[in-house]
Amino acid sequence: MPGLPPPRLTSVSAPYWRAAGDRRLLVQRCGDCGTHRHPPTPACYACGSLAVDWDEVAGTGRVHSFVWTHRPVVSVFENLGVYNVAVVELDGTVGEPVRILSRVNDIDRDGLVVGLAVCVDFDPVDDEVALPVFVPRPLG
Amino acid sequence: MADPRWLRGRAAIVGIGSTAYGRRGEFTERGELSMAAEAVSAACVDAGIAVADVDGWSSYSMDSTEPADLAHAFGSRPVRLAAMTHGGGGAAMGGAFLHAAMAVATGQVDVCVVYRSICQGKLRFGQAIAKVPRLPAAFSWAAPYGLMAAGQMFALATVRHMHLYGTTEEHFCRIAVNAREMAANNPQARFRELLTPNEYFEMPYIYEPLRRPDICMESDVAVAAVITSAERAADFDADPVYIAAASVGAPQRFGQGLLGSYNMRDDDFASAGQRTVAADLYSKAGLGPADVDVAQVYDHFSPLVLMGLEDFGFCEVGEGGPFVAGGGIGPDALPLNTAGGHLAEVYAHGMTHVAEAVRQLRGTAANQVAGAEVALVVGGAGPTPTSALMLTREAT
Repeated sequence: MPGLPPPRLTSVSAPYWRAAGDRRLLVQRCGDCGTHRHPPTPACYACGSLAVDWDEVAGTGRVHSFVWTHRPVVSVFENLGVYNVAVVELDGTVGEPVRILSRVNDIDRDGLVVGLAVCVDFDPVDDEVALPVFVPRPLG
Repeated sequence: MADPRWLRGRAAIVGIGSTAYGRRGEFTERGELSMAAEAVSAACVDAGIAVADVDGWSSYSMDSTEPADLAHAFGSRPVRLAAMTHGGGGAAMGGAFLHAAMAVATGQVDVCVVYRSICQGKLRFGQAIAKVPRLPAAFSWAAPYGLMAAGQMFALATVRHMHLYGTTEEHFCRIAVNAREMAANNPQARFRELLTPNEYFEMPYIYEPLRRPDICMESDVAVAAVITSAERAADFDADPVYIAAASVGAPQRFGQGLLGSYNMRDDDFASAGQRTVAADLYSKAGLGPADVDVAQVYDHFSPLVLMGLEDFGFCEVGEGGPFVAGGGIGPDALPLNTAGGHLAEVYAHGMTHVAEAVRQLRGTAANQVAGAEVALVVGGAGPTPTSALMLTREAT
Protein backbone atom coordinates (compact mmCIF):
# COMPACT_ATOMS: atom_id res chain seq x y z
CA MET A 1 0.00 0.00 0.00
CA PRO A 2 1.48 3.36 -0.98
CA GLY A 3 2.82 5.54 1.79
CA LEU A 4 3.86 2.79 4.16
CA PRO A 5 7.55 2.50 5.03
CA PRO A 6 9.35 -0.06 2.85
CA PRO A 7 11.02 -3.05 4.50
CA ARG A 8 14.39 -2.35 6.04
CA LEU A 9 16.91 -4.65 4.42
CA THR A 10 19.67 -5.74 6.77
CA SER A 11 22.14 -8.59 6.62
CA VAL A 12 19.58 -10.54 8.63
CA SER A 13 16.36 -9.61 6.86
CA ALA A 14 17.41 -9.07 3.23
CA PRO A 15 17.11 -12.76 2.22
CA TYR A 16 13.52 -12.79 3.45
CA TRP A 17 12.40 -9.68 1.57
CA ARG A 18 14.35 -10.52 -1.59
CA ALA A 19 12.94 -14.05 -1.69
CA ALA A 20 9.48 -12.52 -1.49
CA GLY A 21 10.47 -10.52 -4.57
CA ASP A 22 10.86 -13.92 -6.27
CA ARG A 23 7.46 -15.01 -4.91
CA ARG A 24 9.00 -17.35 -2.36
CA LEU A 25 8.29 -17.37 1.41
CA LEU A 26 11.34 -18.13 3.55
CA VAL A 27 11.43 -18.94 7.25
CA GLN A 28 14.59 -19.14 9.30
CA ARG A 29 15.55 -22.69 10.27
CA CYS A 30 18.14 -23.96 12.72
CA GLY A 31 21.11 -25.34 10.83
CA ASP A 32 21.53 -28.09 13.40
CA CYS A 33 18.15 -29.31 14.67
CA GLY A 34 15.88 -27.94 11.93
CA THR A 35 13.53 -25.99 14.19
CA HIS A 36 11.82 -23.09 12.39
CA ARG A 37 11.60 -19.60 13.88
CA HIS A 38 10.39 -16.13 12.90
CA PRO A 39 11.26 -13.31 12.97
CA PRO A 40 14.97 -14.19 12.67
CA THR A 41 16.99 -14.55 15.84
CA PRO A 42 20.71 -15.21 16.31
CA ALA A 43 20.22 -18.55 18.09
CA CYS A 44 17.90 -21.54 18.11
CA TYR A 45 15.48 -21.53 21.03
CA ALA A 46 15.29 -25.33 20.93
CA CYS A 47 18.98 -26.32 20.91
CA GLY A 48 20.99 -23.11 21.29
CA SER A 49 22.80 -23.53 17.98
CA LEU A 50 24.09 -20.46 16.18
CA ALA A 51 23.86 -22.16 12.78
CA VAL A 52 21.33 -20.26 10.66
CA ASP A 53 19.58 -21.57 7.58
CA TRP A 54 16.60 -20.46 5.52
CA ASP A 55 13.82 -22.78 4.39
CA GLU A 56 11.20 -22.18 1.73
CA VAL A 57 7.75 -23.00 3.09
CA ALA A 58 4.45 -23.64 1.34
CA GLY A 59 2.86 -20.48 2.70
CA THR A 60 -0.45 -21.89 3.79
CA GLY A 61 -1.82 -21.20 7.24
CA ARG A 62 -4.59 -19.75 9.33
CA VAL A 63 -5.36 -16.31 10.69
CA HIS A 64 -4.33 -16.23 14.36
CA SER A 65 -5.52 -12.69 15.02
CA PHE A 66 -6.02 -9.39 13.22
CA VAL A 67 -6.84 -5.72 13.67
CA TRP A 68 -8.70 -3.27 11.43
CA THR A 69 -7.23 0.21 11.66
CA HIS A 70 -9.92 2.85 11.19
CA ARG A 71 -7.93 5.95 12.00
CA PRO A 72 -4.42 6.42 10.66
CA VAL A 73 -1.44 6.56 12.97
CA VAL A 74 -0.14 9.63 11.14
CA SER A 75 -1.92 11.86 8.66
CA VAL A 76 0.27 10.70 5.77
CA PHE A 77 -1.58 7.36 5.95
CA GLU A 78 -5.04 8.85 5.60
CA ASN A 79 -5.33 7.51 2.05
CA LEU A 80 -5.06 3.93 3.33
CA GLY A 81 -8.66 3.95 4.51
CA VAL A 82 -9.69 1.10 6.79
CA TYR A 83 -7.02 -1.59 6.51
CA ASN A 84 -6.18 -4.84 8.25
CA VAL A 85 -3.03 -6.26 9.71
CA ALA A 86 -3.11 -9.98 10.49
CA VAL A 87 -1.00 -12.55 12.28
CA VAL A 88 -0.91 -15.79 10.29
CA GLU A 89 0.18 -19.11 11.78
CA LEU A 90 1.91 -21.19 9.11
CA ASP A 91 1.23 -24.86 8.42
CA GLY A 92 3.90 -27.52 8.45
CA THR A 93 6.73 -25.90 10.38
CA VAL A 94 9.01 -27.69 12.84
CA GLY A 95 8.89 -26.69 16.51
CA GLU A 96 6.50 -24.29 18.17
CA PRO A 97 4.05 -22.64 15.75
CA VAL A 98 5.56 -20.02 13.45
CA ARG A 99 3.55 -16.84 12.97
CA ILE A 100 4.10 -14.09 10.44
CA LEU A 101 2.81 -10.58 10.69
CA SER A 102 1.18 -9.59 7.42
CA ARG A 103 -2.19 -8.66 5.99
CA VAL A 104 -5.04 -10.42 4.26
CA ASN A 105 -5.89 -9.04 0.82
CA ASP A 106 -9.17 -9.48 -1.05
CA ILE A 107 -11.31 -9.62 2.08
CA ASP A 108 -13.89 -7.45 3.85
CA ARG A 109 -14.54 -6.90 7.55
CA ASP A 110 -17.11 -9.67 7.79
CA GLY A 111 -14.90 -12.17 6.02
CA LEU A 112 -11.79 -11.79 8.14
CA VAL A 113 -12.09 -14.11 11.14
CA VAL A 114 -9.71 -15.97 13.43
CA GLY A 115 -9.05 -19.40 11.93
CA LEU A 116 -9.56 -18.33 8.32
CA ALA A 117 -7.53 -20.52 5.94
CA VAL A 118 -5.15 -18.41 3.86
CA CYS A 119 -2.24 -18.80 1.50
CA VAL A 120 0.64 -16.53 0.73
CA ASP A 121 0.75 -14.00 -2.09
CA PHE A 122 3.22 -11.22 -2.78
CA ASP A 123 2.78 -7.47 -3.15
CA PRO A 124 5.77 -6.00 -5.00
CA VAL A 125 7.56 -3.05 -3.38
CA ASP A 126 10.13 -2.52 -6.14
CA ASP A 127 12.01 -4.63 -8.71
CA GLU A 128 13.75 -6.72 -6.06
CA VAL A 129 11.60 -6.72 -2.95
CA ALA A 130 8.02 -7.73 -2.16
CA LEU A 131 5.85 -8.03 0.94
CA PRO A 132 4.49 -11.49 1.70
CA VAL A 133 0.72 -11.06 2.10
CA PHE A 134 -2.09 -13.57 2.37
CA VAL A 135 -5.34 -14.24 0.55
CA PRO A 136 -8.22 -16.52 1.52
CA ARG A 137 -7.91 -20.03 0.14
CA PRO A 138 -10.71 -22.47 -0.57
CA LEU A 139 -10.88 -25.35 1.88
CA GLY A 140 -10.19 -28.88 0.69
CA MET B 1 18.22 -21.78 48.40
CA ALA B 2 17.59 -18.29 49.67
CA ASP B 3 14.19 -17.51 51.13
CA PRO B 4 12.09 -15.88 48.37
CA ARG B 5 10.51 -13.75 51.08
CA TRP B 6 13.82 -12.32 52.29
CA LEU B 7 13.20 -8.84 50.87
CA ARG B 8 9.62 -8.64 52.14
CA GLY B 9 9.04 -5.48 54.15
CA ARG B 10 12.73 -4.52 54.30
CA ALA B 11 12.27 -1.43 52.14
CA ALA B 12 9.69 1.34 52.26
CA ILE B 13 8.39 4.16 50.10
CA VAL B 14 8.67 7.31 52.22
CA GLY B 15 7.98 9.99 49.64
CA ILE B 16 6.12 10.55 46.38
CA GLY B 17 5.98 13.59 44.13
CA SER B 18 5.21 14.69 40.62
CA THR B 19 5.06 17.62 38.27
CA ALA B 20 1.73 19.02 37.16
CA TYR B 21 0.02 16.70 34.68
CA GLY B 22 0.73 18.13 31.25
CA ARG B 23 -0.98 17.18 28.03
CA ARG B 24 1.12 15.68 25.27
CA GLY B 25 3.50 18.37 24.09
CA GLU B 26 2.67 20.83 26.87
CA PHE B 27 6.15 20.64 28.44
CA THR B 28 8.19 19.89 25.32
CA GLU B 29 10.14 23.12 25.57
CA ARG B 30 10.85 22.55 29.24
CA GLY B 31 12.19 19.05 28.76
CA GLU B 32 12.51 15.85 30.75
CA LEU B 33 15.45 16.80 32.97
CA SER B 34 13.74 19.88 34.39
CA MET B 35 10.56 17.88 34.96
CA ALA B 36 12.44 15.02 36.61
CA ALA B 37 14.12 17.51 38.94
CA GLU B 38 10.78 18.94 40.01
CA ALA B 39 9.29 15.49 40.67
CA VAL B 40 12.36 14.37 42.63
CA SER B 41 12.30 17.57 44.64
CA ALA B 42 8.60 17.13 45.42
CA ALA B 43 9.10 13.52 46.48
CA CYS B 44 11.94 14.52 48.80
CA VAL B 45 9.85 17.35 50.30
CA ASP B 46 7.15 14.74 50.96
CA ALA B 47 9.74 12.55 52.67
CA GLY B 48 11.15 15.45 54.64
CA ILE B 49 14.68 15.24 53.26
CA ALA B 50 16.82 17.24 50.90
CA VAL B 51 17.61 15.83 47.46
CA ALA B 52 21.21 16.29 48.56
CA ASP B 53 20.66 13.30 50.90
CA VAL B 54 19.93 10.91 48.02
CA ASP B 55 22.70 8.44 47.13
CA GLY B 56 20.84 6.01 44.86
CA TRP B 57 18.96 6.46 41.57
CA SER B 58 16.80 3.99 39.70
CA SER B 59 14.67 4.27 36.58
CA TYR B 60 13.40 2.21 33.65
CA SER B 61 12.34 2.28 30.01
CA MET B 62 15.61 3.97 29.01
CA ASP B 63 14.54 7.19 30.70
CA SER B 64 16.28 10.08 28.99
CA THR B 65 17.25 11.70 32.31
CA GLU B 66 20.44 10.30 33.78
CA PRO B 67 21.31 10.06 37.46
CA ALA B 68 24.48 11.95 36.60
CA ASP B 69 22.50 15.08 35.77
CA LEU B 70 20.09 14.88 38.70
CA ALA B 71 22.81 14.21 41.29
CA HIS B 72 24.92 16.98 39.78
CA ALA B 73 22.06 19.45 39.75
CA PHE B 74 21.17 18.93 43.40
CA GLY B 75 24.71 18.46 44.73
CA SER B 76 23.62 15.08 46.01
CA ARG B 77 25.74 12.72 48.08
CA PRO B 78 28.23 10.60 46.20
CA VAL B 79 26.25 8.34 43.85
CA ARG B 80 26.23 4.69 44.90
CA LEU B 81 23.58 3.32 42.53
CA ALA B 82 22.54 4.29 38.98
CA ALA B 83 20.18 1.49 37.98
CA MET B 84 18.26 1.01 34.74
CA THR B 85 15.72 -1.70 34.06
CA HIS B 86 15.57 -2.36 30.34
CA GLY B 87 12.31 -2.65 28.48
CA GLY B 88 10.02 -0.12 26.91
CA GLY B 89 6.96 1.80 28.06
CA GLY B 90 5.55 1.14 31.51
CA ALA B 91 6.24 -2.58 31.53
CA ALA B 92 9.48 -2.49 33.53
CA MET B 93 8.28 0.03 36.15
CA GLY B 94 8.49 -2.50 39.00
CA GLY B 95 12.11 -3.23 38.12
CA ALA B 96 13.10 0.27 39.19
CA PHE B 97 11.54 -0.40 42.60
CA LEU B 98 13.11 -3.87 42.80
CA HIS B 99 16.58 -2.39 42.30
CA ALA B 100 15.87 0.34 44.84
CA ALA B 101 14.49 -2.09 47.43
CA MET B 102 17.41 -4.49 47.07
CA ALA B 103 19.90 -1.65 47.33
CA VAL B 104 18.50 -0.08 50.50
CA ALA B 105 17.71 -3.43 52.18
CA THR B 106 21.27 -4.65 51.71
CA GLY B 107 22.90 -1.40 52.77
CA GLN B 108 24.33 -0.53 49.38
CA VAL B 109 22.43 2.75 49.45
CA ASP B 110 20.79 4.84 52.17
CA VAL B 111 18.16 6.71 50.17
CA CYS B 112 17.18 5.77 46.62
CA VAL B 113 14.98 7.76 44.29
CA VAL B 114 12.91 6.03 41.60
CA TYR B 115 11.91 8.39 38.81
CA ARG B 116 10.34 8.54 35.36
CA SER B 117 10.06 11.66 33.22
CA ILE B 118 8.36 11.71 29.83
CA CYS B 119 7.54 14.32 27.21
CA GLN B 120 5.30 12.47 24.79
CA GLY B 121 5.02 15.35 22.41
CA LYS B 122 8.63 14.68 21.54
CA LEU B 123 8.46 10.99 20.87
CA ARG B 124 5.00 9.66 20.26
CA PHE B 125 5.16 5.91 19.90
CA GLY B 126 3.43 5.25 16.57
CA GLN B 127 4.42 8.50 14.94
CA ALA B 128 8.02 7.99 15.98
CA ILE B 129 8.11 4.62 14.28
CA ALA B 130 6.43 5.98 11.19
CA LYS B 131 8.78 8.93 10.81
CA VAL B 132 12.20 7.52 11.48
CA PRO B 133 14.14 6.98 8.25
CA ARG B 134 15.58 3.68 9.43
CA LEU B 135 13.06 1.55 11.23
CA PRO B 136 14.13 0.10 14.57
CA ALA B 137 14.81 -3.60 14.09
CA ALA B 138 11.98 -4.64 16.40
CA PHE B 139 9.45 -2.87 14.20
CA SER B 140 10.93 -3.53 10.79
CA TRP B 141 8.78 -6.63 10.33
CA ALA B 142 5.56 -4.80 11.22
CA ALA B 143 5.78 -1.24 9.94
CA PRO B 144 5.64 -2.13 6.19
CA TYR B 145 2.15 -3.49 6.86
CA GLY B 146 1.01 -0.36 8.70
CA LEU B 147 1.36 -1.75 12.22
CA MET B 148 3.01 1.07 14.13
CA ALA B 149 0.86 2.11 17.09
CA ALA B 150 0.77 0.23 20.37
CA GLY B 151 -3.02 0.25 20.17
CA GLN B 152 -2.93 -1.75 16.95
CA MET B 153 -0.56 -4.26 18.51
CA PHE B 154 -2.63 -4.79 21.64
CA ALA B 155 -5.78 -5.04 19.53
CA LEU B 156 -4.23 -8.24 18.13
CA ALA B 157 -4.22 -9.75 21.64
CA THR B 158 -7.72 -8.40 22.18
CA VAL B 159 -9.21 -9.98 19.05
CA ARG B 160 -7.59 -13.31 19.97
CA HIS B 161 -9.00 -13.05 23.52
CA MET B 162 -12.47 -12.37 22.13
CA HIS B 163 -12.15 -15.38 19.84
CA LEU B 164 -10.92 -17.78 22.53
CA TYR B 165 -13.11 -16.71 25.44
CA GLY B 166 -16.09 -14.78 24.09
CA THR B 167 -14.95 -11.48 25.59
CA THR B 168 -17.06 -8.56 24.34
CA GLU B 169 -16.88 -4.81 23.89
CA GLU B 170 -19.28 -4.46 26.83
CA HIS B 171 -16.48 -5.82 29.00
CA PHE B 172 -14.03 -3.20 27.74
CA CYS B 173 -16.66 -0.54 28.30
CA ARG B 174 -16.84 -1.47 32.00
CA ILE B 175 -13.12 -0.69 32.40
CA ALA B 176 -13.46 2.64 30.60
CA VAL B 177 -16.52 3.60 32.67
CA ASN B 178 -14.72 2.65 35.92
CA ALA B 179 -11.78 4.88 35.04
CA ARG B 180 -14.05 7.90 34.62
CA GLU B 181 -15.98 7.12 37.82
CA MET B 182 -12.72 7.12 39.74
CA ALA B 183 -11.32 10.20 38.00
CA ALA B 184 -14.47 12.18 38.77
CA ASN B 185 -13.28 12.60 42.39
CA ASN B 186 -9.63 13.28 41.50
CA PRO B 187 -9.08 17.02 40.96
CA GLN B 188 -5.81 16.35 39.09
CA ALA B 189 -7.34 13.92 36.59
CA ARG B 190 -7.69 14.95 32.97
CA PHE B 191 -10.96 13.17 32.07
CA ARG B 192 -13.33 13.74 34.98
CA GLU B 193 -16.65 13.57 33.13
CA LEU B 194 -18.58 10.35 33.64
CA LEU B 195 -18.93 8.09 30.62
CA THR B 196 -22.14 6.19 29.95
CA PRO B 197 -22.22 2.92 28.01
CA ASN B 198 -24.35 4.64 25.36
CA GLU B 199 -21.72 7.34 24.90
CA TYR B 200 -19.05 4.66 24.73
CA PHE B 201 -20.75 2.71 21.98
CA GLU B 202 -21.47 5.86 19.96
CA MET B 203 -17.75 6.44 19.55
CA PRO B 204 -16.10 5.17 16.37
CA TYR B 205 -13.45 2.53 16.33
CA ILE B 206 -9.83 3.63 16.14
CA TYR B 207 -8.14 0.23 16.19
CA GLU B 208 -11.15 -2.08 16.04
CA PRO B 209 -12.33 -3.22 18.56
CA LEU B 210 -10.70 -0.37 20.51
CA ARG B 211 -12.44 2.99 20.79
CA ARG B 212 -11.09 6.26 22.13
CA PRO B 213 -12.08 5.52 25.79
CA ASP B 214 -10.26 2.15 25.62
CA ILE B 215 -6.98 3.87 24.77
CA CYS B 216 -4.86 5.78 27.29
CA MET B 217 -4.10 9.43 26.84
CA GLU B 218 -0.58 10.72 26.25
CA SER B 219 1.00 13.12 28.70
CA ASP B 220 4.04 15.17 29.63
CA VAL B 221 4.73 14.33 33.27
CA ALA B 222 7.40 13.26 35.74
CA VAL B 223 6.86 11.24 38.93
CA ALA B 224 9.32 10.18 41.62
CA ALA B 225 9.35 8.09 44.78
CA VAL B 226 11.80 7.96 47.70
CA ILE B 227 12.84 4.51 48.95
CA THR B 228 14.75 3.67 52.10
CA SER B 229 15.23 0.72 54.41
CA ALA B 230 12.52 -0.27 56.88
CA GLU B 231 14.93 0.55 59.73
CA ARG B 232 15.42 4.10 58.49
CA ALA B 233 11.80 4.68 57.46
CA ALA B 234 10.83 6.06 60.86
CA ASP B 235 13.29 8.93 60.41
CA PHE B 236 11.22 10.42 57.57
CA ASP B 237 8.19 12.69 57.70
CA ALA B 238 5.73 10.61 55.68
CA ASP B 239 4.02 7.43 56.85
CA PRO B 240 6.05 4.63 55.29
CA VAL B 241 4.49 2.22 52.83
CA TYR B 242 6.35 -1.08 52.75
CA ILE B 243 7.42 -2.98 49.66
CA ALA B 244 6.23 -6.51 50.35
CA ALA B 245 7.52 -7.64 46.96
CA ALA B 246 8.67 -6.31 43.61
CA SER B 247 8.95 -8.60 40.59
CA VAL B 248 9.91 -8.37 36.95
CA GLY B 249 9.71 -11.02 34.28
CA ALA B 250 7.95 -12.62 31.37
CA PRO B 251 7.23 -16.12 30.09
CA GLN B 252 9.73 -18.10 28.02
CA ARG B 253 10.03 -16.85 24.42
CA PHE B 254 7.83 -13.84 25.22
CA GLY B 255 10.51 -11.56 23.82
CA GLN B 256 9.20 -8.14 22.86
CA GLY B 257 5.68 -9.57 23.14
CA LEU B 258 3.10 -7.86 21.00
CA LEU B 259 5.62 -5.12 20.26
CA GLY B 260 7.90 -7.60 18.55
CA SER B 261 7.66 -11.16 17.45
CA TYR B 262 4.06 -12.38 17.81
CA ASN B 263 5.64 -15.80 18.33
CA MET B 264 5.14 -16.16 22.05
CA ARG B 265 3.35 -19.30 23.18
CA ASP B 266 -0.33 -19.28 22.34
CA ASP B 267 -1.26 -19.38 26.05
CA ASP B 268 0.52 -16.06 26.41
CA PHE B 269 -0.69 -14.40 23.19
CA ALA B 270 -4.09 -13.40 24.55
CA SER B 271 -2.73 -12.41 27.96
CA ALA B 272 -0.90 -9.57 29.65
CA GLY B 273 2.18 -11.82 29.74
CA GLN B 274 2.16 -11.52 33.51
CA ARG B 275 1.48 -15.00 34.87
CA THR B 276 5.10 -15.69 35.78
CA VAL B 277 5.42 -12.25 37.38
CA ALA B 278 2.24 -12.83 39.40
CA ALA B 279 3.45 -16.19 40.71
CA ASP B 280 6.82 -14.70 41.60
CA LEU B 281 5.28 -11.66 43.28
CA TYR B 282 2.81 -13.65 45.36
CA SER B 283 5.52 -16.08 46.42
CA LYS B 284 7.86 -13.31 47.51
CA ALA B 285 5.14 -11.33 49.30
CA GLY B 286 3.49 -14.32 50.97
CA LEU B 287 0.23 -12.78 49.84
CA GLY B 288 -2.30 -13.65 47.16
CA PRO B 289 -5.13 -12.02 45.27
CA ALA B 290 -7.55 -12.58 48.16
CA ASP B 291 -5.35 -10.35 50.35
CA VAL B 292 -5.44 -7.36 47.96
CA ASP B 293 -7.56 -4.45 49.23
CA VAL B 294 -7.02 -2.18 46.23
CA ALA B 295 -5.46 -2.79 42.80
CA GLN B 296 -3.82 -0.45 40.31
CA VAL B 297 -3.63 -2.39 37.05
CA TYR B 298 -1.84 -0.78 34.12
CA ASP B 299 -4.48 0.48 31.74
CA HIS B 300 -2.92 1.57 28.49
CA PHE B 301 -5.72 -0.36 26.77
CA SER B 302 -8.85 -1.48 28.56
CA PRO B 303 -8.79 -5.14 27.37
CA LEU B 304 -5.32 -5.52 28.88
CA VAL B 305 -6.80 -4.74 32.31
CA LEU B 306 -9.05 -7.79 31.91
CA MET B 307 -6.03 -9.88 30.98
CA GLY B 308 -4.02 -8.47 33.89
CA LEU B 309 -6.80 -9.38 36.33
CA GLU B 310 -6.71 -12.90 34.89
CA ASP B 311 -2.94 -13.19 35.05
CA PHE B 312 -2.95 -12.04 38.69
CA GLY B 313 -5.58 -14.59 39.64
CA PHE B 314 -8.59 -12.41 40.44
CA CYS B 315 -10.54 -14.69 38.12
CA GLU B 316 -9.82 -17.63 35.84
CA VAL B 317 -8.05 -17.15 32.52
CA GLY B 318 -10.66 -16.07 30.00
CA GLU B 319 -13.09 -14.87 32.69
CA GLY B 320 -11.83 -11.29 32.95
CA GLY B 321 -14.79 -9.94 30.98
CA PRO B 322 -17.55 -11.63 32.98
CA PHE B 323 -15.61 -10.82 36.17
CA VAL B 324 -15.65 -7.05 35.64
CA ALA B 325 -19.14 -6.98 34.12
CA GLY B 326 -20.53 -9.08 36.97
CA GLY B 327 -19.55 -6.70 39.75
CA GLY B 328 -15.99 -7.91 40.32
CA ILE B 329 -14.54 -4.40 40.36
CA GLY B 330 -15.65 -1.27 42.15
CA PRO B 331 -15.82 0.21 45.65
CA ASP B 332 -17.72 -2.76 47.07
CA ALA B 333 -15.67 -5.42 45.31
CA LEU B 334 -12.08 -5.00 44.08
CA PRO B 335 -11.42 -1.24 43.98
CA LEU B 336 -9.53 -0.74 40.71
CA ASN B 337 -7.46 2.14 39.36
CA THR B 338 -8.85 4.41 42.03
CA ALA B 339 -7.33 7.66 40.73
CA GLY B 340 -8.60 7.11 37.18
CA GLY B 341 -5.51 5.40 35.84
CA HIS B 342 -3.89 6.00 32.50
CA LEU B 343 -7.29 6.05 30.81
CA ALA B 344 -8.56 9.05 32.79
CA GLU B 345 -5.97 10.53 35.18
CA VAL B 346 -2.62 10.89 33.36
CA TYR B 347 -0.18 8.68 31.47
CA ALA B 348 3.02 8.20 33.46
CA HIS B 349 4.21 4.69 32.58
CA GLY B 350 2.81 3.22 35.79
CA MET B 351 4.32 5.70 38.24
CA THR B 352 1.00 7.34 39.07
CA HIS B 353 -0.39 3.88 39.79
CA VAL B 354 2.34 3.52 42.42
CA ALA B 355 1.63 6.99 43.80
CA GLU B 356 -2.08 6.16 44.09
CA ALA B 357 -1.31 2.89 45.87
CA VAL B 358 0.84 4.83 48.35
CA ARG B 359 -1.98 7.33 48.97
CA GLN B 360 -4.43 4.47 49.54
CA LEU B 361 -2.16 2.89 52.15
CA ARG B 362 -1.55 6.26 53.80
CA GLY B 363 -5.31 6.81 53.89
CA THR B 364 -5.19 10.01 51.82
CA ALA B 365 -6.67 8.93 48.46
CA ALA B 366 -9.54 10.75 46.75
CA ASN B 367 -11.46 7.48 46.49
CA GLN B 368 -10.16 6.11 49.76
CA VAL B 369 -10.70 2.41 50.41
CA ALA B 370 -11.50 2.15 54.12
CA GLY B 371 -8.83 0.30 56.04
CA ALA B 372 -6.71 -0.51 52.99
CA GLU B 373 -3.73 -2.60 54.11
CA VAL B 374 -2.51 -4.28 50.91
CA ALA B 375 -2.20 -2.70 47.45
CA LEU B 376 -1.20 -4.39 44.21
CA VAL B 377 0.38 -2.37 41.41
CA VAL B 378 0.65 -4.09 38.03
CA GLY B 379 3.05 -2.72 35.43
CA GLY B 380 2.27 -2.48 31.76
CA ALA B 381 1.66 -5.43 29.51
CA GLY B 382 4.34 -5.06 26.89
CA PRO B 383 7.83 -6.28 26.18
CA THR B 384 10.00 -8.34 28.50
CA PRO B 385 10.16 -7.62 31.37
CA THR B 386 6.78 -6.63 32.70
CA SER B 387 6.52 -6.11 36.44
CA ALA B 388 4.45 -5.69 39.59
CA LEU B 389 4.65 -4.40 43.16
CA MET B 390 2.90 -5.50 46.32
CA LEU B 391 2.75 -2.71 48.89
CA THR B 392 1.56 -2.91 52.51
CA ARG B 393 0.68 -0.40 55.23
CA GLU B 394 2.39 -2.44 57.93
CA ALA B 395 5.85 -3.95 57.78
CA THR B 396 5.18 -7.64 57.26
